[in-house]
Amino acid sequence: MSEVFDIFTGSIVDLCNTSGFLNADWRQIAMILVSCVLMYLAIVKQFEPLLLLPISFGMMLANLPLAGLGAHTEGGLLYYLYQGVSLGIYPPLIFLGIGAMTDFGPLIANPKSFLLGAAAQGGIFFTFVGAIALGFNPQEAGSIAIIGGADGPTAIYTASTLLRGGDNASMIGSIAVAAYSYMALVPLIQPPIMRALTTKKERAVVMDQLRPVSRTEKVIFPIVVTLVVSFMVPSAASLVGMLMFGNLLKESGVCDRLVKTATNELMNIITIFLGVTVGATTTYDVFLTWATIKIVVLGLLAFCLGTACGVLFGKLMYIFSGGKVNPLIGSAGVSAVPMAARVSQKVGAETDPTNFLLMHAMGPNVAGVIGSAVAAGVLISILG
Amino acid sequence: MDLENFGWSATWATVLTGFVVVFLALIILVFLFWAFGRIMDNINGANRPKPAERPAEPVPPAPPKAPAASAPRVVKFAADGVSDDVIAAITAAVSAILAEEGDGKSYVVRSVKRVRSNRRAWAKAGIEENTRPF
Repeated sequence: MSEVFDIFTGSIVDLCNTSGFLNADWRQIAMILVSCVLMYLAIVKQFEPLLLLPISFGMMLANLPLAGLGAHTEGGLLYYLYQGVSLGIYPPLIFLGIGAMTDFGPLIANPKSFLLGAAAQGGIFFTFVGAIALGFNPQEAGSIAIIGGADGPTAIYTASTLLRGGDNASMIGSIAVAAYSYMALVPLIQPPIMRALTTKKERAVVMDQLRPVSRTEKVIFPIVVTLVVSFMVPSAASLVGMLMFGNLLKESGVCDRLVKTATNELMNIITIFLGVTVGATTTYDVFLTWATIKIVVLGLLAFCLGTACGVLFGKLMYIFSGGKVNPLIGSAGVSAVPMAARVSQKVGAETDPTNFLLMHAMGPNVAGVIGSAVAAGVLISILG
Repeated sequence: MDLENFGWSATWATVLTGFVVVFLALIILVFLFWAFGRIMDNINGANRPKPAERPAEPVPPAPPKAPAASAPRVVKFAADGVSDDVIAAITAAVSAILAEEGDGKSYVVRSVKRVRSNRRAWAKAGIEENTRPF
């Protein structure tokens, strides 16, 4: 009987010694608390819940003591799922779904919107300078700067491509968390900048109605964009190509089943894998560092500069068009579809409630997606 | 580019390259789709039947002399210049409000003003319908 009791107590002691309670580092507890805060923001405040919730839960899983669920811990489930991120597979597949859901009609109707989508990428390149100044190496600086594109899949794709195989590959998690957090905070970050850089007269501009776009134009658009961008910047081809492939499926009108799969099942599966595994890269030893704080600050700077560049270019178009362009639509050039376009509409409606800027802002908004993919391609080809 | 010795010159060169390539790619797309839009407009304009090209319709036989009762309707105006139709519409709106408010309250219409808007009601309804998905 005493032997049974000894084995029993020994087992209990072993279990205690190998439990999370006795092996937890305080930094793991801190990260679990951070993940709980993010889960709160996703569930209660509904900040980008479709991505923030998987990311935050992945963060919690990666920081469980002795569980070995970090994305960089070889052999665990999340390590194998993470290969889709590190090999650059998930972001283009997400772009496929986004393309199948996006209507490029407002951009085709007003092609000048492309310029606003290009101008808003200024945030990426100016932040690149800031990151170099703060001591990051060129690949790290490019990965951080792309947060200014306000496009989660593009940020993850660029960071995973530039940092692949390096000692700093774990930085991808911090970049993704910063990118998605700021995308969720677009309605708070952008309006003060938009109001500060525009006059009331400029904000009140009512733009001309967009011309109707034929189906032929919508079908030709994805083919032409893929060819032009891929010939100019081949490293942007996987992102732009999949975005435009998804859009062609939608606009062709003959692939309803594929469109449904791309926009629902495939998109949802990839979103779960991407979110959980990116969250699982944020283990305490790589996340609770000064580098993360610098990334968070530089990411905010990138967002603000991108918004400012878009609005300032919008003001330029306001002047050259003789007051026909409302500069507020320029801020939508930072991607973050359709949140940034909604913000343009909301800020414009503050000045004139009958002014509908939403469709006009959707042009620069979707142009920003293409612009940030091109910017990512440039960074990858120079720094990769 | 030497990534090991990435100095300020290389940094600013990267920024300049980035701006030029992004703008160049998107400016090419602007011109392509601007030109394509013009072509499509011309094609659509050419396909659209012009009033002069419509086949001449046979001239209808002269209508019999209309009796006095079926003469074209003349819009009647009240003494103050407001048509009967407008008065009917205002009356219907007022009675609808009175019905919602319930009995026991009396109202006096002192003036009627047109609400000015940048768009017509149908245009606003159309915009709201089209922008709802976003």
